[in-house]
Amino acid sequence: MDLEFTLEERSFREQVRTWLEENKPSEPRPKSDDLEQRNYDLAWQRTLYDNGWAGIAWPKAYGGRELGTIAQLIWFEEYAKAKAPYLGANFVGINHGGPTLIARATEEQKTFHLPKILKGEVVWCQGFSEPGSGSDLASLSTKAVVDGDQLVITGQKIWTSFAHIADYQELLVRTDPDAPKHKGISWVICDMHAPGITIRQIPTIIRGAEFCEVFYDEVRLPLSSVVGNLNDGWSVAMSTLSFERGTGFMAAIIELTTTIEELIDIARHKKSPDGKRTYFQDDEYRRKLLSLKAEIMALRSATYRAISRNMRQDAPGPEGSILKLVMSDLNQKLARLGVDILGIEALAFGGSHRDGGVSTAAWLGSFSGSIAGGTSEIQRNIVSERVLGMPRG
Amino acid sequence: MDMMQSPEQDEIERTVAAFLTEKFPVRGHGHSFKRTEPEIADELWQECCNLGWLSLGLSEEAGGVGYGLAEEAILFRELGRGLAPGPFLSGVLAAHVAATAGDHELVAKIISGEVRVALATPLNTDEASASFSGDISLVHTERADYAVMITPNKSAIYAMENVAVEPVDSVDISLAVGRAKFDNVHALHLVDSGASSLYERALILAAAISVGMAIEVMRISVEYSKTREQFGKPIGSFQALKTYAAYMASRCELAESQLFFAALAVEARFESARSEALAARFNANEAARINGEHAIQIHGGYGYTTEYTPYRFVTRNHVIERIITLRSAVIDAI
Repeated sequence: MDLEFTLEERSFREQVRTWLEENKPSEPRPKSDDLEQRNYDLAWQRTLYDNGWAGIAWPKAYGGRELGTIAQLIWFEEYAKAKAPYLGANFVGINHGGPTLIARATEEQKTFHLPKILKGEVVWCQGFSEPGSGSDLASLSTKAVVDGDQLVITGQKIWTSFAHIADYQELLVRTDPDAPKHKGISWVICDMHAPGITIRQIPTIIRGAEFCEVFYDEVRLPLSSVVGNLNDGWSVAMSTLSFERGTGFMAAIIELTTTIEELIDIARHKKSPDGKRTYFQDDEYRRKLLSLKAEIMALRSATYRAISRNMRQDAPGPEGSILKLVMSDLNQKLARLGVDILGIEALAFGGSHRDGGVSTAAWLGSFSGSIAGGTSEIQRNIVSERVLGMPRG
Repeated sequence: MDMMQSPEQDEIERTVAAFLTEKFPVRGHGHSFKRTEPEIADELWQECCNLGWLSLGLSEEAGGVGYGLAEEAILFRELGRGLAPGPFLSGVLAAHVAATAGDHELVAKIISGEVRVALATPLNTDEASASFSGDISLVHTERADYAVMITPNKSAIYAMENVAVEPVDSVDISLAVGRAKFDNVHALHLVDSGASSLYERALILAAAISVGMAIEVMRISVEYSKTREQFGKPIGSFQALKTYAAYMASRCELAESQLFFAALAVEARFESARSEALAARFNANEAARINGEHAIQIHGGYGYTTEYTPYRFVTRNHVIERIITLRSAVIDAI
């Protein structure tokens, strides 16, 4: 065991820090206009690519740096410290779609799609959940019928962030209705500009409209859009999800460590309602803040350990679910404590929760953490059944 | 950066665990509510000392094995997992205090088992001092020649020969606990805790014991939930119990990660070392305490008895979380 970073890793950290400090956008991410957000997010991605910071762990052949998980960790740590912009519309391409393609796509699919993602030329979205298939994802019913060299897709997806400004979608469809539910699913790259697609934006409690539902009315895609084999989509999807629960949340976890310091700083300066002391001088708040800080430190340490574990095995194991579970709990606790300390100021909605920091919007935004990417109930099932070996219900 | 145990560290874990399983099986106490045997048998204590357990993390110049704090933490995690009795924690800490003071003769006596050391925790948040007066809680009082007191700024060893110890009916009946009133007791050695990270070491090794208990009490609860049947199926198949179990596992993973992160941070002399060690102690205490509570609940009526073992983890942790520094003081210093 050791906590030391190599000379090479330390010099990488120095380069990242300097570059981000000098090059992060001075303009904040636009708050409401969808196209402006798309343009802003893609322009930032392009800047990252042009300067060699896109796809730190992606293969060189597709434009990445091929640097390993520790470099990725260093990048996220410095990125959070620099308060560089939220990935926004690039999230799915960089964190889900791209990594799945790297793991499971054909050479042709990879060569076509991966550089476009890294260069900030396209926006990806995710089409997994359906109105009737949430936690029971494998029960999904959007169907795809093979017609010659095409797939014909009919059905509906929901909770699709950025569908309205996306170019491609990682889409799960049922290609064999007669097979057991996990065996009849395919993972498809869907062209979001194809005829037959209708999108409705869904307003959310954080006042965003990036959430969408997507309707497919006999949408025709080339059969070559399938990633992995036909009807093997469940295993392809799982490679995305275990990635997401493994190191995909590294950035968000590291953000917690900066936000708790920000909140402690606010508490050191802000007078508590009795006017006699600051929030930090109030025993109740100080202990809440510091015990939460201790928990966040432990989550950071567990992330370091998960990275070390991943370096000894090919794919992240089910232990990643622990990180996801604890991260969403602690994020909610932190956001809740934040609005407590904001006090009467918290009546104002505040900025976008994606700006990080402490705000009422951040508190409302924190509710999504225990629902998105597999609910906390599902994470607890994974931990108890696959890590601890408890019997399935 | 690598937070996983090396093969050599795995070997330490295996050796210690195998010895403890053979020599210190964890059992319920049944109808006996008072300790009738010594806290640890003399031969067994001698055997542990001969294995080098008290000198694992001491430098070779000081007569130790020369491993680091991470290896000591592995040893203490296993001692916690096996609910080992005996003055291990106080012995190891006293050996480090004596080594810091340059008293190699005392180091040799402690690590060979020739003398034994109790663990002293002041009832108030006093610092150890050259001449200490005040009420003291003592653990591992049996046959103790010395007491070691580790506080945030100062660490001390006191001779026990003129101190009257009043035995306490310990909540954990496997430990010899007592109270004493120190009246100007002179320290044999008084050193700065900062000099050899003594306070951090005490926090981390106590945390390691709690982490071991958190892991083991989770393991026995999960095993029980797989075999105990109600409504025609194992109770471990119910989501209510899985929720307990998943959080037990999460607490273990976080507390253990923080334990080793802190141990490495102390050794690398990070500026944040003390804060990391306090956070290790905090997370470990929470993990052992809450996992113990869940363990009793998962075992149902059996968990309320002294015939099953969950209460042994709960009562041992009750002691461990109170020694060295109280919870509120730990939180305030993070």
